[in-house]
Amino acid sequence: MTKGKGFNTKLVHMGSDPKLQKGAVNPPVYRASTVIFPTVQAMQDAEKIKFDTTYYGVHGTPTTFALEEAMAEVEGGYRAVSVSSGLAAITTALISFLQAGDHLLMVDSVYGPTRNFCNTTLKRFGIETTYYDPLIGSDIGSLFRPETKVIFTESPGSYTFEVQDIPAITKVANNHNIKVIIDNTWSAGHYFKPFNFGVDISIQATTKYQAGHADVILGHIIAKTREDWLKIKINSGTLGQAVAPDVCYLALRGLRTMSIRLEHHQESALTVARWLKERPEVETILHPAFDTCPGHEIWKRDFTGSSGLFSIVLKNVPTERLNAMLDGMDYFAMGFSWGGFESLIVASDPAKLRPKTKWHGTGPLLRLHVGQEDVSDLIADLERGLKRLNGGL
Amino acid sequence: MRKDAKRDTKLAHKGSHPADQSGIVNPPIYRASTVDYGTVAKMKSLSKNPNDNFVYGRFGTPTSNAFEETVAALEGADRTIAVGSGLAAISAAMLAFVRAGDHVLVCDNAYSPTRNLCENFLKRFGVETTYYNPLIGKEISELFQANTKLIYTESPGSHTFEIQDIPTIAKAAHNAGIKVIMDNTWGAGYFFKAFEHGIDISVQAATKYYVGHSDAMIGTISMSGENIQPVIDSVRVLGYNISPDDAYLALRGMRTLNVRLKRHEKNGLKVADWLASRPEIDRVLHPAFSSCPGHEIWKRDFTGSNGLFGVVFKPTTEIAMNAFIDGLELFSLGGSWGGYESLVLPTNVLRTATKWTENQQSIRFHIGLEDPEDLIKDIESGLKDITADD
Repeated sequence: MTKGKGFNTKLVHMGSDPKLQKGAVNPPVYRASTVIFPTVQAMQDAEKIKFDTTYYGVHGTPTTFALEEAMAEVEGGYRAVSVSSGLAAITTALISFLQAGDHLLMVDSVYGPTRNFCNTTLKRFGIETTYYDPLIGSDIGSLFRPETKVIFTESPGSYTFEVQDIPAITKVANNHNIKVIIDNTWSAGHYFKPFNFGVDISIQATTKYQAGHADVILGHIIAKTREDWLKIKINSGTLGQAVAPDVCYLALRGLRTMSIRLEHHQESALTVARWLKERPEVETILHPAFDTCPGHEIWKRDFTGSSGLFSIVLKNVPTERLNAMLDGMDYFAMGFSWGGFESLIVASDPAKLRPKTKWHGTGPLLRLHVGQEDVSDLIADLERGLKRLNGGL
Repeated sequence: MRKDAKRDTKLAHKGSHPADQSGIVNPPIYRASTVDYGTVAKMKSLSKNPNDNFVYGRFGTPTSNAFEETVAALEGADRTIAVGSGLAAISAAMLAFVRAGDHVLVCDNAYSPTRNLCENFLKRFGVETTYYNPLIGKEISELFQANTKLIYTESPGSHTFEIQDIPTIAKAAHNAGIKVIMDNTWGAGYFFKAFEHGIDISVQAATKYYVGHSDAMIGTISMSGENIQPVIDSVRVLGYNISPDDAYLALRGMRTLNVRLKRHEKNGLKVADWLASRPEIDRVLHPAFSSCPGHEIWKRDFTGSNGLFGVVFKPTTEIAMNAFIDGLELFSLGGSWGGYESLVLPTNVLRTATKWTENQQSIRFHIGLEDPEDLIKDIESGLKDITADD
């Protein structure tokens, strides 16, 4: 699509080429394994450009390609690779740039399954991981070794919400030819443009805001350059990663409304967070748009908005009271993931999540995802919950 | 279902739980990421054993569970886990049992993406591969090293069709504490019972006969006992999973697996028989033919054959071979197999441990559900062109 279009126009038009789809606005759902070639010569020619054409189901179909084009457009990258989950995007991206004997720098506030992958699989295959303080900034250079090949960032962290100084990190990394990968899921690629800040590879759990309806598991890896994209595509193909056309279609369908959904998530989450800030039961608000959030100044500098996900730290409270609060919620459902149309709440203990840097909260951490409901109903739900937390009802 | 149910009965009944699904025969397509737990206590109880519950979309849904349950019943395994492609099944299964410094043995006739996985992926992570002659039998133990953790087999090979002596290989492996993974796609868990022959982990490209319609990419990994947890951990840690739509299509495919396979077998034998009688053909590489290496083992261990086999032509030119392939009307040219349609592909004979002594002009046929008389006529008119070129 032509450059210079407004972002909302892009969201409406990207990944659609009616000329290639018999005039229909949306791409068809192609179900494919075998792709047929008219001649042996045509097959041999296709093999040479197998990642740039329809070659075999495992490498994608026009349905996959439409979504990948859209994902790259959102992030401002060269091209995207689809894999079967956000976690698969993380593991595939890491595997593509590492080998036995290498060293990886991993942010200590990272998503738990990423940590698990480093401590089990990568360790078994001879890759050493050092965890670093998410607020480290340019001091990250002091952790570099000759064999350091990748820095993995996640900003903000999806439980504790530290916002990282990405340009400071990429600046020192680029001087040492170290790849910088970001898990950019919180901003959905909408509120943070990683390639403008020196990042090489951006990862999205497309499951979250792009799909947006809690009905899809999908991940994307977006590269800034063709060279990096090809490396990821080859590794993903070597492992046999493939995604279904249905989930690609649903994710592309979700992207059409991502901007308006995010605006609503943002507005409601800010309203809920402001209300919670005034409550005596709440110790801290961990929302990047609040000055109590570590890295808030960086968020103001680098991001253009916030999404529906944030945490609060409660003052110390007995577990039964906390459970009474959570079990009785009318609208906040309890479960993993986020980014769907519905509100969610989960309790967590960050001290367990991050052994390398110290966690200072006194009470439990509650992570909220604020959905598309009427915000006054959500606040009333939380108000009744806090009453249960205090031993009432 | 009764414990003594036969394989066809399992194919018709497994994975169907009408009482849990509003009385409907087939499972619904659950599209899920978040699963709502209701209470903290329920959440904690589910998290303790995520493998047996609907906990999070990435760990599977009742839709994918129904498919996995059916495959496990057919394979005779305690557990099956589904992933995004046959190759993903191979990669997740291998990664479950090796680490840097380990050694694996892989059959020399393996599916070429498996070889690529070893050469361009496992090697980078410190895992060394030795390729072995698929007809090696018990002498495989001579290749064992102190750090050998895994034997990877594929029988028959999907391009050159050698049948391996699996019980002998498995016995030698187990004596040395080595796991054996088999690509069981050709036998489809229907004509070859991997676990009864000593295999530890059976992987399949469900894309082929299970799905059976060339419209989905899926792989399955089946195993029992102590082999279950390492495989599940490998799949979970890597973030692999399948969509509910693909799971539904694959389960739907399994309901007709027996009738399709038997027709593929019948048509395949008919076309192969006809080809064997032709003067242009040197050898038919079909496990049910004595001209196929390992045919005696196939007779002993398998209960049938399918629609996939190879033929070696008498010496001719590559140009004539390509013209023959290009001119076929009913045989499409493309990768994969196992769908309802007939396919043709030049044989891939990449190997390093053994020598391919056959003529290079070899091709692989997949015989579909068309009328075999039409398929024979199609091939016959193409063979005329080859003769004309001589």
